[in-house]
Amino acid sequence: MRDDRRCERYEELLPDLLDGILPEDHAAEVRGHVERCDACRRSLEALGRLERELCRLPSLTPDGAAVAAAVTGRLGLERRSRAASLVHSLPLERLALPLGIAAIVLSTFRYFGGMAERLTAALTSCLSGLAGAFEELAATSPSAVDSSALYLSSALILIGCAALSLTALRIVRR
Amino acid sequence: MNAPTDQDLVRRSIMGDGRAFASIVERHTRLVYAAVRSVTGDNNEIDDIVQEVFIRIYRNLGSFGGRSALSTWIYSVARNHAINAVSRARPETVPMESAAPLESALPGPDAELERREALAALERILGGLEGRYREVVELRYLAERRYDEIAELLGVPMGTVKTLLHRARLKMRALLPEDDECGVRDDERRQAL
Ligand SMILES: [Zn+2]
Repeated sequence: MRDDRRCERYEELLPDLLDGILPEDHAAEVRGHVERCDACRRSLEALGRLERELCRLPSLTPDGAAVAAAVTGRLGLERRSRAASLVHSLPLERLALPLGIAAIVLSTFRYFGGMAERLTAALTSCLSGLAGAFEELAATSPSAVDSSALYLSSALILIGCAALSLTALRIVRR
Repeated sequence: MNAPTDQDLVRRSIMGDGRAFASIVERHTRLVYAAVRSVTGDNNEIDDIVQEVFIRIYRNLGSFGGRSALSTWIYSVARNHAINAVSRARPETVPMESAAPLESALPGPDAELERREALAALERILGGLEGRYREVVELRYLAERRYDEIAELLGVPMGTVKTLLHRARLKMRALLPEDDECGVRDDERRQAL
């Protein structure tokens, strides 16, 4: 049955047949020949066997998670990862600078303006929701506004310093 | 939520986010194994070399400009490192920092022995392939990349990838052991009928 010249041509097409990338009319022709020709059938079976052997390669290779654990272990990255991803999950990067500036501006109002009204006005423009509550409080008890403004501005200074140093740290690390 | 892009992961890794870098490693483990194996063949030090590649990648993330795909850059770093690792004369140098153990990859000594034997058997088939033939086969079967992805990684037209793979398969088929698979026995059975 074997016709060497024809078989050579069909053998060339066998890998594409296995890959499923041979056009259907071509594939049917090759399959027809393989049905009748022992040599080409053996050849196709050997290629199929090769395919199955090679398809074992991924399962014989360490999986990505194990390699990642080994590599981050060698780099000493695991301990840092939790803190780093926590920081990353907050939008601090974008908020740090405006937050820092706002905090310092607000706190100078408290110390140099010295008046609860001015602080309330500043808060109205910056944080309108919070300001409503403040104005209500100012009407009923001005001294409470003064002391809560002190706490608020101290807290804002702390947040501002933290935010600014975080920004500075990022710039230095880059 | 969408999976983070390679660029996101690179940026976060540079900021010290270990989990982001772990994702980069996971995404590219097979690619790096393929790159290293195509240079070294099956080799006892391969796990170590792969880990060194990722350490080098971590330390050089800042120099990845994003002009090419991350996988293309990683592939070339991996190949270059593997070429250097092979050319380094090992016996006289100080023993290198050994690979961190790959715990989940090694279920036990028996499984590991089986794995090594299977790899050695495959090496008898793959070991006859030179240069680009081996590269294409590793990328196709181990890294499970499509033809167009292989073409991009190697910087060659897709037709070249198909031709290389085709010739590689014919070479490997000639090296297949004849006796140990059911395919042959089925064939013999059919002939005997
Ligand atoms: Zn034939």
